[in-house]
Amino acid sequence: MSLQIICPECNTPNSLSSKFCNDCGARLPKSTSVLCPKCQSPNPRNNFYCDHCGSRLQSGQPPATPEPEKPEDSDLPTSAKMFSLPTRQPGDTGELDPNSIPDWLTTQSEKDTNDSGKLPKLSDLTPQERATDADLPRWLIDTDSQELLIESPGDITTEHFFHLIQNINEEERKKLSGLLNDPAVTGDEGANLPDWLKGLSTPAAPTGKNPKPAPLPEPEDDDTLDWLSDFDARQTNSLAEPINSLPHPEQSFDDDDDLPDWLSELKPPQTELLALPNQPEESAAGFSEEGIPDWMETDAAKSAADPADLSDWLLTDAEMDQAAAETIKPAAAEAAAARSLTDWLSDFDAEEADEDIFPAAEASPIEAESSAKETLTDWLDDLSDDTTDAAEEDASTSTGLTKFLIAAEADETETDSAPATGTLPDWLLADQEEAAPKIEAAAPAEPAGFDFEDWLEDKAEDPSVTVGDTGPLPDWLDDLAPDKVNAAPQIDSSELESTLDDLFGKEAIIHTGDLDWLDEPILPDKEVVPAAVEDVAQTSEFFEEDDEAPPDTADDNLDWLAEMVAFEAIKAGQEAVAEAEEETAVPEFFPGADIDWTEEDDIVEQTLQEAKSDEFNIDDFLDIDAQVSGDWADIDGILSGAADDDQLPDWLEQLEETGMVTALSPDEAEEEIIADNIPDWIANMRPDDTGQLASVLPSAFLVDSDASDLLSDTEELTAAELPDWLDSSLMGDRKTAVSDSRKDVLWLDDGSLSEDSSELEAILAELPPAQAPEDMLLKAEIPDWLEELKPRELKGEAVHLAETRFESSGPLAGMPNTIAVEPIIAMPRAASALGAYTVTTEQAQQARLLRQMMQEGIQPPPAAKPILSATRAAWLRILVALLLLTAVFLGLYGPAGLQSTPPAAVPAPAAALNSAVAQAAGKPVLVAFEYTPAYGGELNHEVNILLNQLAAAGSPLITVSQYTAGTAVAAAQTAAYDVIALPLVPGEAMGLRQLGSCLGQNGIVCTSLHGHTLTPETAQLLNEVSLVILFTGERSSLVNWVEQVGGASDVPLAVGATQALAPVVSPYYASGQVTGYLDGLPAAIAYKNAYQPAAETAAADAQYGAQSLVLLVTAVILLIGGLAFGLFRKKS
Amino acid sequence: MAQAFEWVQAPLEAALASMLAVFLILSGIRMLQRQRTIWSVLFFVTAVTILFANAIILNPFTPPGISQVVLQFRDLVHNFIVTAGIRGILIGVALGIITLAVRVLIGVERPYNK
Repeated sequence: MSLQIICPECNTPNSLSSKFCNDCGARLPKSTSVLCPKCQSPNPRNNFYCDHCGSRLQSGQPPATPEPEKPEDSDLPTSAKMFSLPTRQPGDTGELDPNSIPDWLTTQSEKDTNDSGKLPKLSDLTPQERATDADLPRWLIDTDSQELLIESPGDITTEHFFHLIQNINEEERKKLSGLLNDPAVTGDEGANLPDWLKGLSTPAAPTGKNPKPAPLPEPEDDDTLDWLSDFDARQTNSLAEPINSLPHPEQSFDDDDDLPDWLSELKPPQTELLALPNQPEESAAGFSEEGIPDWMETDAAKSAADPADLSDWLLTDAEMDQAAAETIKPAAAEAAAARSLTDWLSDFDAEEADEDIFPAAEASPIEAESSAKETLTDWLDDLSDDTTDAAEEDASTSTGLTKFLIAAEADETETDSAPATGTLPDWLLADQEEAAPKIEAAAPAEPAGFDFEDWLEDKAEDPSVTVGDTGPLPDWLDDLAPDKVNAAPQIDSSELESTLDDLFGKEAIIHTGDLDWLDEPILPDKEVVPAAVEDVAQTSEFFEEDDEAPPDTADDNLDWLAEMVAFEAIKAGQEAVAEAEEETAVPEFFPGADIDWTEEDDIVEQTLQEAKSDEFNIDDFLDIDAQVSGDWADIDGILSGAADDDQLPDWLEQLEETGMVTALSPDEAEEEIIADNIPDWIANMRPDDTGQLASVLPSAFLVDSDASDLLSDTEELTAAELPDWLDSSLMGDRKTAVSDSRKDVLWLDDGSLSEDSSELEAILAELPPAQAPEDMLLKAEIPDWLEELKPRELKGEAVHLAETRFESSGPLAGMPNTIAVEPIIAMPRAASALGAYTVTTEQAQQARLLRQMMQEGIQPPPAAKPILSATRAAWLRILVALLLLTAVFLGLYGPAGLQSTPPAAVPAPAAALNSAVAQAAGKPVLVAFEYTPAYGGELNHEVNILLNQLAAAGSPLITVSQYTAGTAVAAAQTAAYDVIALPLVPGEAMGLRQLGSCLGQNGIVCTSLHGHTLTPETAQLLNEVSLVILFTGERSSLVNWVEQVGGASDVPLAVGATQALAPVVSPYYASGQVTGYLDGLPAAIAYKNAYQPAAETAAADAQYGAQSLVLLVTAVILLIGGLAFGLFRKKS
Repeated sequence: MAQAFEWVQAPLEAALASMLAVFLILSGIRMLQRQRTIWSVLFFVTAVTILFANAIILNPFTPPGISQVVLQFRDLVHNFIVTAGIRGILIGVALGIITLAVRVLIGVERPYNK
């Protein structure tokens, strides 16, 4: 669909709503839009409704069916109408089967046809408002109660639906029970049903009896979550039952099957783990039931509210006091509880639960062992089988649990005095220890809190416990161990040296200065180090026997499990080590809380002094302040457990191979560095003086000596004891890794290089010579035109331009190297018939001229050949002037026959002027001289005639002028008369207006005029002026005087004008604004002859004759000249 | 001072005015050469007629009958045609003055603000 309308005239695209073309203004056709069927107005094609009348647009053919009448009072909003979809005709069901329409819908539609499909209002549906319910659908009407069946609940919850189901009648209940027991609906065992419906389906299915619906759960406390309360009301009810009557934990476990999976996962994992079904009721009283969800309360009740059942995150300090008092649990209950664990909980809690539970089963260790086996998960079962087989020789280690737990168990069995409390992790021990005295006071028979350090202490004191103590440490603990060891107390280097000397002799000694990179992470406690060395020794022995270990223990299990098994296998050999450990490694401060830190500080200081004396700067890696931090307690415990040889983690076992715990001098260490105790490639990884890259890339930075040593001692690599973290990172199999490393460094072998050097040189000689990188780049070919544009280097020399062309014409004439202007002026064409423009001849000439100027330059127009040459024209002007002068002279001084006679009749204006002068006789007359001497030849005669007449009548004369020349003329012309000269009148019209206000009998006497003070006599004369006579040859002066002075006063105005000004005066005379006038010399001669015949007018008569002759000559010249030039006019 | 005015300024201004007559004659002669239109011809005819009327009629050699006809023609042109033209000019000037006064009063025209 096109979104634009193309103008048929100019093909310009226009918007859809345009009626006229935006470019040419032509009317756009209506067919491009959708015409409204109602108002015929065009609309855009994408309109559903007409923009003009709002009716629905139906493009194309008219509708087949009559358009339904739209209700005028529709409740639909405007937006809904505007964006509604195409409607369906009444009765048009489309693809629907008419028979499938519900009755009420069919009835309703038929009834509401006249109502335009409006639904009844909701308020009308109430029984009070409605008189009948016939128009309502059946499902909306309750015939029994006449009330609305459905009451909208304020809060739709599960209990709401549960309540609805419970209130159904017996028949519907049967239907519902059958429906819920239908496997097709509910799925296998009701898997498709929600949890809250399973309770309804399960009891009804096997028995067939309708169980009474459970009472609607009472509103719970605010602290109880609704969804939790609604979830398992039956369990909530169980809180009211005596605890002794609670079902067996297994039964409780079965009940938990009702729980949805997600809720089971949310359930605290250890609730069943440590559940005690026979827990005294008073034990549960210690818990606060408030604020605990029902299921928690239920579980707490079923499990005798044992605080230990709660997970750590649920235990508060107060609850932990109770939890500590409930740590002894029967083995059977623990086993059942263990079975209830989810898988992930089993994985996670196997160790903790075991170490918490089984020490408590000290009364029957065999039963505890068997029950412990049942509680193990699969992987622990496998482990148990293996370890049991391997440890059958030793009954104390045959439980399949981690060995340190077994050791603790055995230790407790033997000592029967160590408290077995620990169900709590370490981070809870602090609170546990605080609560322990209280618990002991309340229940002295029960063990107090379990201290991890105490546990380690017990193990340290018991040699039998030391067997395989390192085994239980999982890998993740091993990974954490170095960090903890970093914070270990300072080492006594001298004591360390002595211990190592005793154990390994000088052969195993490596200077610690070279191994400080290994020293840092594994600096153990000073008393532990000898024990660690012992462990290393034992470990090496073990690994020597490791190849002979059973494959089922070494291959099928995890590494640390395999190690654990191995430790068990060599248990007998470790007993001797344990004895030595007791002599050397058992620290004095091991008994837990009795650590004497002051003594330890003394030891630290002594160690530092000794280290300095041995040129071993222990301050580089020991921070004394950090050594006394509180974190040492944990690491002491760990390391105390590691006092046994086999308890050392793998990373500590490396110490034996490396022999780092020595204090040799650097010189001695240089000789011993390549000893068998440490692989060379590991030694190369350490940071040394060559830089730390050597530790990162050992193979790449191997020196020749190292490479040779490495290659020559492959057996050593094979047998090298690698830590797990190195094993996992470098190689899965040690032998494979060694072979790989051999491959990696094979090319560095000096012998191979020397043998192949000649061949290599030959190969290199055959290679083509290497190219420089820049030579390998392809050179781009620069085109010529681009080369020309390349900027030239300025060398200070003037660039010589080959050709310098100067503009010859036009505005740029004279400028060099101008660029010719592109001809942009198109020549006009002849107008076509359809063209709107016509080119006139002048336009064509202008265009031609412009084009000529732009393209061809300005060419001087062809010199028009004058009709008369300049000389001839000059002579013509002279001729005309001579003719005129001749006429003037002939008229003045020629024969009388050439002089004209004045007219006998006096013109009417002149007669009116004479009447006005006669009326002003004896009265002051204002005479205005508004002309220059140029008009004097014509006006002076009028002035003389009129002044003589006024003087003869006895009228006082007042002269005035607007021009300086006029004042002079006035002075010259009135020299023979007694006149009063007014000052110059400036301001033209405005000045004349002020003057006019002072004239006449208007009651105003002007004492000053234009800044000049008038004498009282003058002012009085002005006030008594009866006639104003104006002599002027200028139109402006005439107009100003007539309009300003004549209009401001009633004083009559007479004009003495030139003959050329007569047409201007004549209208004023005709209108009465001018009383009379004299127009030129002929009127003046006639006026003199008529009214003053005695006046001397000889000069005037001569001048009049000359003027007449000049006019005649002029007319002849004009006639001859016009005819001559008119006939011989040059054609353009 | 009066002598200077009488013997210098007055003859100069008279000479300039006479030159006007000469140039008007020359322009009238060449008018038909430059622009030969009906209006130019009309102007030329009118000028020659008025000149002849003022000259010939006053000439004693002219017959009185012709003189009267010429005088009537002159008066016709002078009193009606020329007067009508002058009145039209005056009316136009008056309307222009009124319009200018209104424009100045309402502030549209500010002749002294430029």
